[in-house]
Amino acid sequence: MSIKYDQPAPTPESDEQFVRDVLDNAMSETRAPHHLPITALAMGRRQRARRRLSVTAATVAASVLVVSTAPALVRNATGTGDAPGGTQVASDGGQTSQAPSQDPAPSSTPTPATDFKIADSPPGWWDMTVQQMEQIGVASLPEGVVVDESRSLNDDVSPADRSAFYTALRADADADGQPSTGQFDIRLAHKMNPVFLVGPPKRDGTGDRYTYVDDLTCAVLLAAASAGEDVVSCEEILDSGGEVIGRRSKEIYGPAGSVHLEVDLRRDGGVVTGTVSNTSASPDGIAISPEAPLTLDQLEAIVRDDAWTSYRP
Amino acid sequence: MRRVVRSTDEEFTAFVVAASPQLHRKAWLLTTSSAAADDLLQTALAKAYVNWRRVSNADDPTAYVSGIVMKTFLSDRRRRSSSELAVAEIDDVASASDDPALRLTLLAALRTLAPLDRAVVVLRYWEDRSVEETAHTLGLSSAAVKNRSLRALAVLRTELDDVRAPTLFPGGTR
Repeated sequence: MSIKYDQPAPTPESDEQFVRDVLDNAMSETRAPHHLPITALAMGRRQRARRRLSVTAATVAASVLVVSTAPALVRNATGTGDAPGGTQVASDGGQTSQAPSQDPAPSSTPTPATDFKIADSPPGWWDMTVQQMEQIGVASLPEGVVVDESRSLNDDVSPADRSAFYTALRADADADGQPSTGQFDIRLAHKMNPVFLVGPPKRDGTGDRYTYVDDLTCAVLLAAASAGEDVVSCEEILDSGGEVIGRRSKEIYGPAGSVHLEVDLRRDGGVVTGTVSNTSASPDGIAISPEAPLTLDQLEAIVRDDAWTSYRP
Repeated sequence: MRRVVRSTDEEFTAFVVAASPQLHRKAWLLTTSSAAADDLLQTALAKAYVNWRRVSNADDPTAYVSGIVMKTFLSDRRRRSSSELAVAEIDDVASASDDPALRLTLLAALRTLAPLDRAVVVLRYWEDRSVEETAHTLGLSSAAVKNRSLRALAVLRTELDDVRAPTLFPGGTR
């Protein structure tokens, strides 16, 4: 054991000081993993997206018509799927308190600034404005579902970042005279948006930087599920060559047991995500109907609409 | 004249870069494992991101998130799982001047403590909190904090005995 603890020994009466010294000597030079900023950002964005689904007001008609589903090869991660060609595969408690007394990071700690460049998105169809998204969203919903409100979800991002980073539409829909039963979201993003970077980071060839893969497999979703989230099912969407290009998932989470259906689909350098849930406007996301008002097939049909990728900046 | 507006992501990222070494040390002491510390801190930071406006408006955002780390540890200790983001490889977390042997000894000693006693040690002797502050943070009485402190110190005194050896502490025996 190579211990370079060279301070005078404490007296028996100074156990407290002794423990303080050991703590300081043992830990003062450690540093946090380099990937922490980007992985924490990715997890935070994912949680925030989910949280918003549970806090935003929503009404979608209970009566929706069946919408034909675009052709898709799927495989079911829970082993219950019967899709053709499929291969079966297997919450804030902060408080204000006194700051710790230790010094901040050692000056030798490198700042992995280059890692954050991964969050930048080049211009693309994901820069579509919310107004344009609303028009497409209204047109793509099944008959009987009416959008009565839409808004940008990126209201806490500076205006300069809006189009370059995260564009979203929330469409609340309601059929005339029908009770509210859920809510519907569409999100457009570049494929390297941190929302989708939920897989483990890997070092690049030089070992100096971390790289991420825009992995839309069910395995990544299952690994990234937060405590309290129960992934009931996940099906991977494959292209004609067998490559995973998206996934369809059903999750139940929170004490209210709210149901969330989500379809993520890679489209021309970006990802279109559609989500529908059975939650209300309650801050706790209380389930207001047994199931989400759109089926996964209907949701996938909406996500596959070419109109989402038609915008040119 | 133009006003530079930083996005939430930029602010959050800058905060994590600046505060994560300090927060990670705390998480490491609480969990006694580097990987578990990664998970704990990642979870706490994600919570901070979701509530970023509240965090950034706090008098001391680092202290605020430090509180999230502690509460997350206390609430998760009964149901720790591997559901957090998996890290493909253990990152380098120590500098060249680091002393891993002393750290291993310390972490092994802390591992023998009950999680709540470990939390008391971290608050009292790593963060230099008062008995009253520690009691408030952990929801204990001051007397309970004192009792747990004494019990933890007794354990650590034994477990860290090698560290007190004369060769390691020139001029000292006990």
